[in-house]
Amino acid sequence: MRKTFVEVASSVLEENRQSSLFLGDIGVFGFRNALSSYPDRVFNIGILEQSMISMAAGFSSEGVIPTVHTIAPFIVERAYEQIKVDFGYQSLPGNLVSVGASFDYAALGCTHHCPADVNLISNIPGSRIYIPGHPDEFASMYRAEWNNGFLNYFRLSESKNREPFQLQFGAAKKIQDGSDAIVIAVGPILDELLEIAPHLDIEVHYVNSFDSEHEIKIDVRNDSKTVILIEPYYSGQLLQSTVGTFASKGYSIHQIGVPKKFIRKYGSYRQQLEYLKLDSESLKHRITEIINNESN
Amino acid sequence: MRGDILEASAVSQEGHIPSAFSVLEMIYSIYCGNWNIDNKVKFDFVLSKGHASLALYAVLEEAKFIGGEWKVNFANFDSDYGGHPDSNKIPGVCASTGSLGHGLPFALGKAMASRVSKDGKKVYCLIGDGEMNEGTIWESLLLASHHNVHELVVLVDLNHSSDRALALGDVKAKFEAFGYQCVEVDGNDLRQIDEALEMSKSNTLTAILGYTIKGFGLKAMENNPAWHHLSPKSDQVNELKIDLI
Repeated sequence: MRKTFVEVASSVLEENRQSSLFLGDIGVFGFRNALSSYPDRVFNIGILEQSMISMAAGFSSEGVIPTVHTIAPFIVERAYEQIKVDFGYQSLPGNLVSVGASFDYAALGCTHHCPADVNLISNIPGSRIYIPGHPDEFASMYRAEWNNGFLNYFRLSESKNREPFQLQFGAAKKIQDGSDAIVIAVGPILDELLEIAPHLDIEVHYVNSFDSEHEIKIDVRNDSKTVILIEPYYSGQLLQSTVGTFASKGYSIHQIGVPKKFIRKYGSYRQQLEYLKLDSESLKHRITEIINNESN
Repeated sequence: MRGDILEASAVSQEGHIPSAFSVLEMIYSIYCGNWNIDNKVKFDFVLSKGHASLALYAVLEEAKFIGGEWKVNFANFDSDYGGHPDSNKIPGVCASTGSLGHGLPFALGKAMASRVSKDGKKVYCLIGDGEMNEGTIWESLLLASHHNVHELVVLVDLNHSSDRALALGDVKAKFEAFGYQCVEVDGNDLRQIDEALEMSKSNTLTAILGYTIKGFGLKAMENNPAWHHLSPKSDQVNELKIDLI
């Protein structure tokens, strides 16, 4: 996805003089051509995320739409107040593009993990969140939305699904029919579910964008009253974005996400996924258990 | 204007009067001083220490950006004029400040973006010396120096009110270490500020260090921490106004 980000963002910079890019000293080699071609609006700012966000908001206030890029915890958690005040409160548009997701940098430890990012950004009124499951999804999202007048958060990840899906903003897409439960997966966790979904009688939906002010549009077909929400970060946002569809209508809702604990393990993304029981085999057991408990 | 500030604060029982009195001359000079009487210098102003908003509202009225309504509805429920300025509500306010340390990097971004539009605009940003405790101030000076952003002019309200927590030492030497030309002035003296603003028209990184008195203009408030976030009662206002310089 990072390679796609470089390609698409470089193209936007070339085509639109009213666009700008701020790098937190990552992705510099990839953007070397843009850095040399547009020195008045493409910057490797350095390792000072709070000021970088405020500066970017200053650019936005002058109509030069910024995209800010660095590792998720440093852009979202370290500079959260700047995002809240300088972009959110002032209703200024812009784009935040993070890498690292929840624990892509597994070997680097908790300082580089960011499973809280989606819920944090969703608490900033007027923000939109994009969690592409495939580089092609990111490419179409970014191209369409970089100048949409909102504060956009694009969450890039190392993991990706095999197949891209084109979705409307804030709408779910049905991937599989089934009758035992309605299962909704977000972004790059979808493939873990699709590995085992053919062996389960479940209705599968996919979501890769939403905001905190609107319900996710979802067309539920089956009569099951069991809903399972699978998020590759701390659970919460998907429940908030579907509460009107399910919670108020008597559905039994179950959340599967990154558990709220510091992951004091290293190794690989795959190892951490398995450790947190978010891999396909673990999901199969967890979904089956939920369905069995609901039917008893 | 100081009288208006006292009255507005008394009506709402809100506002940081001594901070407003500290910076009033500097803000007035930017908008209404002789240095730009022909309006040749196009500029934006960012009040990074947003709690001095009463001074900003007084000057914005003087400069005809707003009317006099702020004096009767300051900080009221439906007012446009809050304890900290809101850029979405008030003409002439280009940054919603209040959280210290945000205004300077925001102003830096505005100044750098003006290079894209090539509009030749200057951005004047007023920060407090207490605000200089924030790391983003130093980050911004480092960045402004690195990118030679002479379109940004920094004004410092040096009233030493926060020295009790963390003294800044030699502020001029610190700015100079970042490559700034420093112009030291009595920050409550209109003529001196005006001369400094004239110098800021150059294409040199410029910081105007305004040595001020918190609460300047009213002896009872000068350097008196008790008044930091205190408003006079309505029946005190006339008495206080008599003592204004």
